[in-house]
Order: sequence, then structure tokens, then C-alpha cells
Amino acid sequence: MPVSPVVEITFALSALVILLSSLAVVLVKNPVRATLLLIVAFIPTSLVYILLQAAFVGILQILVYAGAIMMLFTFVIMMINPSPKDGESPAGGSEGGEGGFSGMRGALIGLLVVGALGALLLPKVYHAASQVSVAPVTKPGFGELSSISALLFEDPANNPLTVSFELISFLILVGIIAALNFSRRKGAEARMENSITTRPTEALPILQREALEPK
Amino acid sequence: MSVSLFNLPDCLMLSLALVLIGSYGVFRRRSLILVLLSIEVMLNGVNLSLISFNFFRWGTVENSHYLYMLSIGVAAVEAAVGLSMVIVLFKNYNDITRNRISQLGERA
Amino acid sequence: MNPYLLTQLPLVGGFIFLLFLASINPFRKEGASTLIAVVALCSTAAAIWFFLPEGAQYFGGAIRVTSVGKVIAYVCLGLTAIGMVLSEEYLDKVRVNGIDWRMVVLALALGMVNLCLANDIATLFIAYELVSIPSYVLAGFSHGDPRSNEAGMKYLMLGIFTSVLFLLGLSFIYGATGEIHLVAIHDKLARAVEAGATGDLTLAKIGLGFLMGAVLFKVAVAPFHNWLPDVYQGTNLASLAIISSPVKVAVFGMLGMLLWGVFEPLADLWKPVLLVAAAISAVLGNLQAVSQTNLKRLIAYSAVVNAGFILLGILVNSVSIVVFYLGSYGIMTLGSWAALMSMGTNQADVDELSDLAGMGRTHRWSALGLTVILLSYAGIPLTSGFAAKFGVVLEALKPDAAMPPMTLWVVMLSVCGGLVSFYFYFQIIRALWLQSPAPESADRRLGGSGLRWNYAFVLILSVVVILSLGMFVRLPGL
Repeated sequence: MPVSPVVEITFALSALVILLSSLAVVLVKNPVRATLLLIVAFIPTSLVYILLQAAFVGILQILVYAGAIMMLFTFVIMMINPSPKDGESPAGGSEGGEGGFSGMRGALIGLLVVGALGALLLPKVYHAASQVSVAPVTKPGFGELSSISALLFEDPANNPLTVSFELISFLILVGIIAALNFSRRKGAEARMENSITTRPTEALPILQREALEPK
Repeated sequence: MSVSLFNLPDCLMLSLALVLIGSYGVFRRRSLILVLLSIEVMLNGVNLSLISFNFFRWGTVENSHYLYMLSIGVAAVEAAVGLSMVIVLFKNYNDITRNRISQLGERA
Repeated sequence: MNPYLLTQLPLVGGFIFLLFLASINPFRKEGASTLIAVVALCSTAAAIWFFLPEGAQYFGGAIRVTSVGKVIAYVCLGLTAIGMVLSEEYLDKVRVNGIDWRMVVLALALGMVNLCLANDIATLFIAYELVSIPSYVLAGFSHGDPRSNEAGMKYLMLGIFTSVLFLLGLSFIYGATGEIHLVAIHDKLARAVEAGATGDLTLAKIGLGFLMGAVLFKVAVAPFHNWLPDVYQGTNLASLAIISSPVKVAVFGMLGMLLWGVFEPLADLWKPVLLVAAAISAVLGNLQAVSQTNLKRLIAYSAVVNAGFILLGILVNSVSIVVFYLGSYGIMTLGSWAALMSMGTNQADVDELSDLAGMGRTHRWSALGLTVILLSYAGIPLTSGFAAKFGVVLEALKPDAAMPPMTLWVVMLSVCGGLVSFYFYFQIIRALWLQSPAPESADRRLGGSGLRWNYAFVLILSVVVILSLGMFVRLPGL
């Protein structure tokens, strides 16, 4: 099947950028950089979606994923990470140091596990996929907005996608309720008197408890 | 078949590579925010596999485009819940490093 | 009106009603919210009973009513309602906002019902998420308590990781078959097995592998169970009642329905996987439980052991045994939390094994109820725990069942594990009745709620159900 070289080159370059920046997301120390690099990975991903005749999905990727979700991450990092100093910031966490799987040994073990999994999985998938590979046949108007909207909204009383579409609204409500609940202040709690969760000392934040405990 | 890059096996390789990179991050990263970011990398790979299956094999109905929309909705909710938990953790521990948040476990 | 929508109406209506209550006066302690939530759960169960005929399909096949799905939905809704009754007073004690908590639980119940009825990949995925995400929220709900934060965070991280793998599995299955309807996927897989289409089959098997990995992680089956004790330890008892009982039942029910129905053509892949997981659960769960001193961690390891037995039940394709096991396990777990809640004081939950010392004297009836429940956990005859385990073993040893090799050994391993588990269950019983209370337990004198009506109700209900299921129900094959 002839694929135009422009498509090939675009795909190859995008794949390269996606892989490199995703690797960087996993490896860099600074959390703000990691978030920005993930956005960098999302842009060529949306390009690949456009090559796959999923232009609407590509737009969603930029608008919703890079635009909204990643901004959420950036805000939270800014919130809890006011002044990174000495190369160790709360949001970044200290890489390595304590713990069993950290430092070079941890990296080696992680690499070994992931590498083994990949070595096991990738050739199998590649083989199976090339067995079933045929020239892509798409219907006219595939991936266009009119076609997707017909899929989503046609005959809502009998459309198989209606139920999941409605259920996800409850999922989002749960997310909102959870975020609201977690952000409730002590004022709300103080109203419910005579209530301590666990043993009195354990309910204190850890820093205060460390101060109370005799060294 | 001519040698070509833009086909189903290659797209699947790309997406599985993203999943593996992300899972390496999930196991390696100490900061909880960065763990969440690594999970987003994985999810990106999964979405890519959904869309490429749809285009290369079943190009008559855009079912996986719909699945993609559901998956980013779920990702948004997960990010919101996860980040609000991270903030609460930060309030209580003044730290979001995985190793230091360990009050639970077997006591001698 | 579409009868399916009618069954969802009470849950959705209850949710929105509570949302109104919460937005009018967010900080008022709302006693009516329990009643509203219980009524919503019960009327959903009733609506499923009356309006959903078996075999009916709604919304172009997105919802398909099966007999197994209906029964599991009843069990889940009933257990959730009982957990709701249990939460009545306890939530104030742990400073959790009751209305918020009940809204999240109602959303979770919506997810469980849809998980039992889902018939396409999209609905299945969203229902699975609607069961998972509220459980993470419940685990971390008492946000003033660092331990609850930690439990919630741990659960959330692992949960999101596995739900990504779940979606990856669904994606591969979609890629192999090109269908999103589960029945159509089953037909395509069966045809692929007949035709020997290796490419499609490999893709589907890899997808099923990811899917099962995710779900087994979720239900904490042995190689993937290390997070469970931590989550149990940090979560407050009311949330734990929901997470440990109805959620588990729903996810196990989904696993069973998927494997028996959709992935039945791929049985030669999933049967050995389940067998290995069951064997490791029996060994690791029992061995690690023996050394525990924390009560919640101990019960968590016993949950791992029970999960192994349920996997064996799924393996032998015996629907009635699995449903029986799930129901009896769910009610046992709720009863044990009720007993622990009634033994706690206003200041502290019962946490360590040593906290239970002398409870037989101070909290006689709770201790008695807990003892019956523990005997059922251990699998003493005349209790439902025994009947369920015995049923699984008998089914697995049937000569005509097409079982993978080594099944006999795994069953024997599980039974031996059951003998080991006697030790740690009797450890608890010994603490209850034979030890005298520790002198340092000054905070005992601060007083607790004692056996309030709701704890007593749940405890009596669970003891009655355990004994009557154990004595009077005749399972097929017994």
C-alpha cells in the first residue's frame, strides 16, 4: 500500500519526539520541566492522530489534555513548590536516598523489569499485528466531526453510547465532591465535637508529632 | 508489502513503548506528582493504541474515538482526585515523597 | 419509559437530593441522609427485581440483563445498604462529613449496578471507573488523619495504574475483534478460535492478560496484594465496610461474568492464570497473616486468602458457588466491622490485637457476634464460611470438570492454608475471651458508643445470615 513519504516522515519524526520527551518526563528532576515536557509530547501525538484520520481527537488532545489537565498539574506544582532550593523541592521529591529501591540499584532493577517485559511483549505484538495488517479501509468521512456526532447523538434512546456518556457525568461529580471534601477546613470539623480519629497523638500532623516526641 | 513505517505494528510499538516508559516512571519516581505524570504518559500510549487499531483495522465506525473521549474524561477525574489528595498530603506531612509517607505498615 | 432508566432513577434521585441538602447547608449534621440513601439503594434493588426481565437489552445492547448480573446487583446493593446503616454514627466520630460520604457511596452503587449489567466496552470501562474512583475517595475520606491520607494515596496510585492497564486490555480486545459489544466479541473470539486466526488470537490474549492483571490487582490476589493491608489499616471503618465488601463483590462478579461469558473461548489461557493466583494467595495470605498483630491487617490478609478461594470458584465455572461465596463473605466482613465499631471508644478504634483483650467481659454481645463471624471465616462446620469453602472444594474435585492439571494440588494447598488460618482466627478469639484487659487502657474509660442499635442490627443480621446459610442452604453438589 503506498503511503506518501510526507506522511512517513511526519510519523517518524513525531514518534521520535514523543518517545524522547516521554523519556525525559520520566527522567528529569524538576517537576515543572516534566509537566512541560509532557505537553511537548502531546503535540506530536495529536499530529499522529491527525495522520490516523482522527482530527477531532487530535484537537481534543491539545485542548483538553494539554490545555486543561496539564494546567491542573502545573497549578498544583506551583502551589506546593514555592521555592525550590538546593536542588531538592517538595514537589520533586528527593530522588534516591533512603528506601530499598533507589539510586543506581533501583534504576537498574526498574530497567531490568521493564526491559524484560518489553522484550517479552513487543516482538509478540509486532508479529501478531503484522499478521493481521491489511491496507486500511476507512469509510468516507471517517473521523470527521459530522460522523462522530452522528455516532454519539443519533437516536439517543437506542444509542449504545448513551449510558456511558451519562455515567461519566457522575464520575465527574464524584471528582468534584472529593476535591471539595478534601479542601474543607478545620472549621467544618470543629463543629462535630468529641471526635478524634485515632489515638490523640496520631491525629496530629507528622511534623508536630515529631516535635512532641522525646528524642 | 513494501517497507513502510506508518502501519499498525509500528503504531503499536510506539504506544507500548510509551506504556513501558510510563510504568518505569511509576515504579521509579519518588514524588507523587511525578508518579501521576508517569501514569499520564502510560495513558497517552493506551490512547494511541486505541486510535491506531480503529484506523488500521476497523475503519468503519469511530468507536475508539469515543473510547478516547471517555478515557480523557476519566483521566481528568483521576488527576483532580489525585492532585487534591496530594495537596492534603502536603498539608499533613509537608512532603510528597513516597518513602517518607509511611506511617502504615507492620510495627515491631 | 425505558425500564432500565427506571432502575437508575432512585440512585440518581437520591444523589441529587443529597446534593441539594449539602449545598443548602453544608455543615449541618444531616440525620436524614442515611435514610434517603438506604431508601434509594433498596428501591433500586426492587426496581431491578420488578422491571428488568432476564435477557432484555436496552440502549441498543449497551445494557444486557442476565440472571447472574441481577443476583450480584442485589447482593451489592444490599451490602451497600447495610454498610450505610453501619456508618450512621461512626462517621461523626471520625469527623467525616456524612452527606458527602453518602453521595460518594451512592455514585459507587450506581457504578456497581452498571458493572453488573454492562454489555459493551465503553459502559464496562466507565462502570469500572465509577466503582474504583469513589473507593479511592472513600479510603482517603477522613482527610484530617495522615494515615487515611496515606491509605487513600496508595490505593489511588495503584488503582489508576491498574485502570490504565485495564483500558489497554480493552483496547487490544477491541483491536482483535473490532467490536465493542461483549456478545459480539464473544462470537468473534469463538470464530477466531475455530478458524485458528493466530494474529487475532494473540492480540486478544495479550489484551486479556492485561485485563486480568488489572482486575487481579484490584481485588488483591496474591502476587499483587501487598497494598491491601496498608489500605485497610489506614481507612476508617465505615469506608472500609464499603470498600471491603460490596466493591469486592462487584469486581469479582464482573471478573466472573467476563470470564464465563465473553472470554469463554480463551479458557485455556485464563484457567491456569487463575489457578496459579489461587495457589499463591493460599500460601502467601496465610503465612503473612500469622505474624500480624494489627487487627485490620490481619483481616486484610484473610481477605487475600478468601480471594484465592473465590478464584477457584470462578475456575470451576460454578456460578451458584461463587455467588454464594461472595454473599457470605460480604456479610461476614460487614459483621466483623460492626463488632469492631461497637468495641471502639470515642477516642480510638480497636486497632491492635491487644486492644481486644478482655472484650468478652466488657462487650459481651459484640464479642459473641465477632466470635461466630470468626468461626465462619475459619470455616467451622454449620457456618456459611464452611459451606462456601466446602462447595468450592467439592466442585473442583468433580472428576468430570474440565480442569487444568495440578488442580488437585492447589485445592489441597488451599485446604491446608485453611488449617493454618485456624491459628490466627483463634488468636483473636483467645484475646476476646481468655485474656484480661490490659491495665494501661485508660482511654477505654472514656466510654464508647457501645452496641448502638445499628451495630446490633448489622451484627445480628450477619450472624443470622451466616448460621442460616450454613445450616439450611443446599448448594448443588453438596
